[in-house]
Amino acid sequence: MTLLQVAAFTSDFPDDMVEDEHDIIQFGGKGVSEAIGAILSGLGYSVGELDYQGERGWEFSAGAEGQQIWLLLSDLGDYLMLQVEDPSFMGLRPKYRQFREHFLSGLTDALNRDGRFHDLLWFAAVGDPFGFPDPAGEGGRRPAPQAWRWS
Amino acid sequence: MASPPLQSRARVVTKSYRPMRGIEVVGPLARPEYESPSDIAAKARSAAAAYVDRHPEHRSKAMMAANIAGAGAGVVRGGYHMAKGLVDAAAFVQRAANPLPDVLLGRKTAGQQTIDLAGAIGDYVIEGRADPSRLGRDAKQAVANAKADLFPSATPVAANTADELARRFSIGMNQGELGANVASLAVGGPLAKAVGKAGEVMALQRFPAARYIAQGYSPEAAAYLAEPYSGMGSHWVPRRTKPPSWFVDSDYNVLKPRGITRGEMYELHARVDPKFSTARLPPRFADRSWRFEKSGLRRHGPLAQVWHGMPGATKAKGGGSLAAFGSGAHQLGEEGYQ
Repeated sequence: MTLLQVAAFTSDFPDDMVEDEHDIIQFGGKGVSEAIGAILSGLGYSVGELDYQGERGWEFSAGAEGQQIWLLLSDLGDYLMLQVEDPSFMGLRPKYRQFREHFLSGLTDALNRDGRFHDLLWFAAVGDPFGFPDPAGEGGRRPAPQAWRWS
Repeated sequence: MASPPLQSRARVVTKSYRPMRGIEVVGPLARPEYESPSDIAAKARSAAAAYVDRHPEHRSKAMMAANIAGAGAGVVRGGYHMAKGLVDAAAFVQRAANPLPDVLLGRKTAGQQTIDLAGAIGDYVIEGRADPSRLGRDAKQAVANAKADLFPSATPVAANTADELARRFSIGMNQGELGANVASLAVGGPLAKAVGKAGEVMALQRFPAARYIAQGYSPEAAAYLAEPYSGMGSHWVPRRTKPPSWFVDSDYNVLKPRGITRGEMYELHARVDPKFSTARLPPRFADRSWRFEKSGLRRHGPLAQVWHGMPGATKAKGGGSLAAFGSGAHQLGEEGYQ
């Protein structure tokens, strides 16, 4: 089974990166993270607090029925990247996998329905066994063999 | 088929893409056989020249960096020529042992070539006896050529920044190759390797932005990446695991080496954190984001990620047992990704 790990998409949200004349004071993505958190709350998940992680972006959790999934959102200027962070070893448990599958499918449906998000693509972690794919990498954001569009 | 003149074959021994002064390279050997490092260097030089023209205050550092970067490239070139020399020598020995293919193809055999070379040397020595001042003139010319090849002050400064960077780089390459040759004569490969590494480290210390220019960033973005890092660092134990508050943002958990630049920290972070591969750059730059894949580096393997992601303070506290773990993790991690 291929696990989808990274979503790349664009949004109508204003750029909320905070910078002074020289440096980035706070990386963007807070508004989009809050919006995704609200969508997940609407789907019945309990959403944790946003945690700012500097250049990594914004991390938050969502859970239900004793299962929890962590999401990391990074604003990369041209697009946004949402990474699924599986807890160690949890990904091996069939119950967790079922939860994850249900979660991602629900989230994808909700994002596709929401008019504020566009061009959503999911990528699987292939090619780099110890890292996640870079949606801005080779081939740009064109749908690659490892990309899926859930509808 | 007639073999090329001995002089043109002898040019290979000079170990230089750029002909030494006073010697003309003819025939197919006049074309460099291994151009890609020079092409890469030319690209970096051109970008660096544009940057230096915009920032004249960095000119002296840039010239020094070009010189040192050239030295690193020269060391590599020296190694290539040493290896090529060994291959050529092996082929020569093989041809001496079995001259039949040369005879069948109508080429001079290795033995005949040796006789020709010995004859040429003999002629030179005989002529030198007849005219001793010629030996002195030739020796003087050789020293002058060497000075021009090795010392920036021995030749005039170029008319523009790009040409001057090229001149400094070229002199650096000659210095580096000479260093590699001397080092290899003295103690062989390991020292030569260390010399190359030292040259690279020195160049980056003096002009760190050059590294990012060479990776394809604009000079402005490269300068930004070469500035000191002041972000949050990389957390060894993730914050989401809710470690104790005294630990979570302490030096024992945050990897953020003192004096590290933004670009270096991003690279370090990405090598130990599989979820970090891209960071946004300020919108005033043409480059929208820093990307790990541009660095040409590879991520550490899972165990090595644990080791290399561990802050120095924690390693120091852990002492010997952590060092033992680190050694194993480093090996496994590095090999695990090949």
